Amino acid sequence: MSLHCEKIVKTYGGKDVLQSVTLDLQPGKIYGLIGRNGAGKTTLLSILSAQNPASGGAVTLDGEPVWENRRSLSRICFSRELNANAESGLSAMKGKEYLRIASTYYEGWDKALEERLVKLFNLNLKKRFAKMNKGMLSMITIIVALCSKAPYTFLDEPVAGLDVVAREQFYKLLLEEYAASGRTFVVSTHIIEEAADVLEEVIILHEGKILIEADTQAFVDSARHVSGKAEEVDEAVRGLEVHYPEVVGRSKGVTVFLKPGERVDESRDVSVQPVSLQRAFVALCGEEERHEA
Amino acid sequence: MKRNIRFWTRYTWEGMEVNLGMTAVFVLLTLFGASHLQLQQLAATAPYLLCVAAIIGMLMINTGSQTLYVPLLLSMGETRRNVLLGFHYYRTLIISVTLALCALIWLAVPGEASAIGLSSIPTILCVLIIAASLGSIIGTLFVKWKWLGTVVIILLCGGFGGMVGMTSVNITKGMDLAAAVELAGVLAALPWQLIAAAAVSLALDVAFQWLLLRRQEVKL
Repeated sequence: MSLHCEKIVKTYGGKDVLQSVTLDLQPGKIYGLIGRNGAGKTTLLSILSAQNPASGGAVTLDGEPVWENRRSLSRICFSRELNANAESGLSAMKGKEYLRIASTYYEGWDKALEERLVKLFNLNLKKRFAKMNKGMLSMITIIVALCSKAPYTFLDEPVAGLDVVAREQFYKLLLEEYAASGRTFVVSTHIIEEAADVLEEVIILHEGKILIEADTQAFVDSARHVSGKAEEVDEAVRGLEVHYPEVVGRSKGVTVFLKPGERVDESRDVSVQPVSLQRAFVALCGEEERHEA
Repeated sequence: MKRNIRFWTRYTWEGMEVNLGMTAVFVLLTLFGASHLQLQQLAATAPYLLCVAAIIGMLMINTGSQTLYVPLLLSMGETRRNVLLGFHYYRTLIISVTLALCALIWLAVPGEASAIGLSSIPTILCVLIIAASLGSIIGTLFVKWKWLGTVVIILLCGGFGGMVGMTSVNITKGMDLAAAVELAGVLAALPWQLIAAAAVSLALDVAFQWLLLRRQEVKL
């Protein structure tokens, strides 16, 4: 019983934006979808929710295809990032109208929650999107996501433009809703450190491929930063999966990802430190640019 | 489908508000232009003004619907098939309401002009179908090929200007009953070419729309 995509490929103008992505989203979890700009996060969420067609592969929900299947689609909500400068005419739409349409189309829409969130965020729904700032638009997408009550809910950059208080409110609301409903959330975000405590599972998408799909804590626990004299560091991490080497003079720092049973040779004169989710992500995805530099 | 019908019915009403507003402006211009007010004269011309407003409204609203509401509804989990059906339900409804209003006005004020007006309904139906289809074809072009859609919209805006200007000039001159009867007489004769044009434009519109919609990507 899950939302499953198998070998998803998406090609734009001859370029593979997604390359054979296979993913299984289990019910009742909060997933974090992280990746650099252009990694394919929004494209993947669009395909999972049948908003965009895939060039290849299939998406199923509990074994049924999602594409053009109203029953499956009614269980998925992808609350898109709103753009106040959109050419589609969305900028002229009022917040009130947008929420009215959402309440019409999402079967389980929670009107009471909508009213509570509008009050909490102090939103003026009579304003047109063009007159709203980025934070307000994010609040609208959060309201749609939470009030839809869809068992599978995707949020694309929900905290973009929100101040730190509003971001805290969002994470609190997300956990509250999750605890109450057991819905599955997929949150795509660049503000990794803040979200790390909320995300049960992390999916790292890099250049159209899934690099990591793992329990967040297990993934963070598997990563270590090892630093010291270059020769000592090289000896200490010999045979391990090493990423993101940083050399300053005779000193060196690397990030290693340990597989079960592996360990850093701490008998060497090195410092071994745990790393944060953000640091682990940078170590995995920031390497090409360093090599190019 | 129930949700779809609820949304498009409400959208139809909003579209009708625009059409009725435009008609009210035209009627006001007629009143200013008239040397003396004749109810029968107003009854004979008002439905045609409503039709002009509906044509302009559908050209504009159908274009906007394609670029905004179709992707918006897809983003809210509606199937492509239902979006297409809902859009055509809305078009059918807005044309039906316009024709019903015209018929009601003509029936309410019997007379020669009203009788001819009633017999011109099939012609008006064809014209409204062509306008509605043209509006949504332009929207489809705009979604697929922005530059081409923009060129057509610019040309269309020029056309609107001319249409509104011509209508305004004619009605402020004060359209007399004889002229209204003459116009109704022309419209009452339904040429087969018009029926063919309506059928072709509708078929082209559905084909264009479905070709685009079946693989359309949501961009908002």
